[in-house]
Amino acid sequence: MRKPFRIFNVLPFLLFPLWVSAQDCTDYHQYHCLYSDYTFFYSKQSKSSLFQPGQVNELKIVAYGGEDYYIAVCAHRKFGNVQFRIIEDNSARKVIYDNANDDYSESITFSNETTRNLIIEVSVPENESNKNDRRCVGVVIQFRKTETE
Amino acid sequence: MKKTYGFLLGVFLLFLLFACKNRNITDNQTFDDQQAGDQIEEYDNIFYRFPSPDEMLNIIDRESIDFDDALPLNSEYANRYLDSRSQALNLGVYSADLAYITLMKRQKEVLSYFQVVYGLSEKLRISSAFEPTLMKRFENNIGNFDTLKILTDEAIVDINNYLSRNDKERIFVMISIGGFIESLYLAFNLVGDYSEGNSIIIQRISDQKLVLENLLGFAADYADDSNVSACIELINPVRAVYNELLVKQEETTVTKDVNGKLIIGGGEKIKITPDQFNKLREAIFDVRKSITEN
Repeated sequence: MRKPFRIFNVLPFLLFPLWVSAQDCTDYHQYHCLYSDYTFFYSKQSKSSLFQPGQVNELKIVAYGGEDYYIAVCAHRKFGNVQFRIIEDNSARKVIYDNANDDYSESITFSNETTRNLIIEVSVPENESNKNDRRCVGVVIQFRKTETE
Repeated sequence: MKKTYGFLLGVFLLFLLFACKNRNITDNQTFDDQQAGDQIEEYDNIFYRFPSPDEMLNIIDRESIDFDDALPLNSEYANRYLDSRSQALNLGVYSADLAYITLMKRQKEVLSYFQVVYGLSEKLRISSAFEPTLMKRFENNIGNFDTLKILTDEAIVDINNYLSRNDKERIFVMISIGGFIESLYLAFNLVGDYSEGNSIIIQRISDQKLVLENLLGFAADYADDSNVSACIELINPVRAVYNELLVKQEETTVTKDVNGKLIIGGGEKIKITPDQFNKLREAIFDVRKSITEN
C-alpha cells in the first residue's frame, strides 16, 4: 500500500534553508535588545553580528563628551551569560565597565565627560557540547545630552 | 513518492543556493579559499563604527543657532551626479543636509531633500532598502517633525542595513565620507570664527578626529576598491590637519554619582588652535567643493 505523504518527513528539508538564511544578523539588535526610555536617541553605531561559543568580538565606537550613553547587549538565551566590557580604545585599554561584575546585566548607562574612542568587547561563553551553535548577538547604543544642574 | 522527494531535494538545494548568495565566492576561488574565507569572516572580530551626521549635528539644535538655507547643497544639483562614486558621496552630503534640515524643523525643505536622498538611492540601485510605503508616510507627516525625524532615521538605518546585508559596504564607506565632510561643512559655517563663545561646537569639530580614525579604520577593509581608495585619498588633506592637533592626556576616571550612574571623566582631550581651525575649515571646504562640483 502506498504510504501517505507525511509533512514530518519533509520538514527538515523545508526548515534547514530557513535556518541557514536566518543567520543574517544585520538588524537583530533592532528587534531583540531592550531600549532605554524615550529621552535617548538611537545611535547608528549599534550593530549585530554572528557569534559561536567562545567567540569574542570588539565594536569600536566614538562616545561624544557631554552625552549620556545607554548600551544594551542581547543574544539568544542558549548562549548563557554574554559578557560585555567597555574598554578605552587606546594603548592603556583601561576597563571602564565589566558586566561580569554586575551580575551579567544586559545594559549600562553612563555619562561621558570627554569625547573618546571606546571598545565594546562582547564574549559568548564556551560551550563544549555545542561548539558550532551560531547565533546573532546585538549591541544597541543610545545617547542623550547629559543634564547639567 | 520518489518524485516528491526529488522535487523537495531540488527545492532544498535552490533555497540553499539563495541562502548562501551573500558569500560572494568568485568563480576562480577554490573550495579551500572558500573555507579560508569563512574562517576569516568568523574570526574577523573587530568592527569599526562611528557617529552619523545627525548625531554630530545634534549639538546645533541645542545651541539655538538659526537655520541658514544657503548651507545645504542645492537639491537640484542631484541630477549632476552620473557615476556611482559621486552619487554615493553626494548621497552622504544630502543625508547630512537632511539631518540638519530635520533638526532645524524646516518644513519647506524637508520633503525635497528626502526626495533627493530617495532619488540618489534609486540611481545607486539601493532604493529597495526602503519600505515601499516610506515616501507616502513621509508625505503624510509633513509638519509632524517628531515623526519625520523618526522616518529620516529609519531611512538611513534601512540603507545601512541593506548595504551591510548585501555586501555593499563599499558604498556605505563613500556615503559616510560624504556625510562626514558635509556635517563638518555645516558646523564650520554655523560656528563662524574661532572664539571662546563657540567652544562647545569647536570642541565637537575637533573631536571629529576620533570619528575620522574609526571611519578610516572601517574604510581600510575596502581600500582595494578603486572608488573607495579615491575617496580615502580625497580626504587626506583633512586627515593631515587632524593629525596636527594636540591631544592632551589625562588619567581616565570612573566614578558613580548619587544615583549610581557611572561617570567617565578625564582621558584624552583634543585641542585645536585658531590657526589649525582655519586650516581645517579650508581643507573641509575644498574637499566639499571637490565632492559637490564633480
